[in-house]
Amino acid sequence: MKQIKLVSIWNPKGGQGKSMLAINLAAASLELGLKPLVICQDPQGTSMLYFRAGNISFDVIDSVPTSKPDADIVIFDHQASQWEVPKNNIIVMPLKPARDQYATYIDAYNRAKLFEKKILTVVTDGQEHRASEKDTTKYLKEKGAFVIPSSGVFSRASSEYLTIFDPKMNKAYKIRERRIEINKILAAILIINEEEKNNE
Amino acid sequence: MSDNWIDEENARAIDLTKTGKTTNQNAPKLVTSVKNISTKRSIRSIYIQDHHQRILDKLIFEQKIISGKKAPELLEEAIELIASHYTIS
Repeated sequence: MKQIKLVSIWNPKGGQGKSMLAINLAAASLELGLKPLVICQDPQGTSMLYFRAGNISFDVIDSVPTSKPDADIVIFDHQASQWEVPKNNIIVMPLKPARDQYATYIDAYNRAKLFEKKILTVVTDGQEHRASEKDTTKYLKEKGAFVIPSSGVFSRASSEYLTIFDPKMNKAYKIRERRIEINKILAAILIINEEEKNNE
Repeated sequence: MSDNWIDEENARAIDLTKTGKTTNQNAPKLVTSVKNISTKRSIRSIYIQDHHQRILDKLIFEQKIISGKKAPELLEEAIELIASHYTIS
């Protein structure tokens, strides 16, 4: 029977990049020949808006299907303010590298650790020229976090409800770097062995 | 910048995790409601003898008394049992 990779994108803090990661990870998996499905669990419906705009080639649905979906990877885009740790074993936690954002992240991270979740941290929207953000990013990177710096690629893509893998984005400045960063996260998700206990 | 604030936040978060509370414990919390969607089933007709039907009726009645399994669940279980019994591969 086909094994579906179930991934939750979660951080109770809003505006950290959950929906951005959800749709771009799905787009990256499509590039890899996998069939992704995004389940938008956020009343704001950001991922749904991307889908309704008609520029993405995978499904975004608003609720958990009653029967097993025909997909290789199912990405749950959770809503902000959700303190309940998601049920899926793999959790991707985006955060911006500022102190107040980190405070919420680390609270949620510790809660998820209690449930022995496999957690991938992604530092998003960090500004290199801000010493504090640079240092926090460095600290988290040393702890194994992935980094997606602040980039015009994402604002350009969001202005047209595109993923950064859309051909229309091919000429965007530093698009290759941004795509590689998303691909690295996807690769890390795909190689996680969910049978193993978390030894971090 | 030193990592002082990170250490402070880490220590605070560890203490908080031990209590099982949030920073603002009294604030209203988002509660996820899970819809109980019943399993999709359809009416099927099977062609069986009367005495087998009586056995089934008795079984269903006995389960009803003890608030046990319902008729569809019993029949599904029976099908799974015979499937595992007769499946060759």
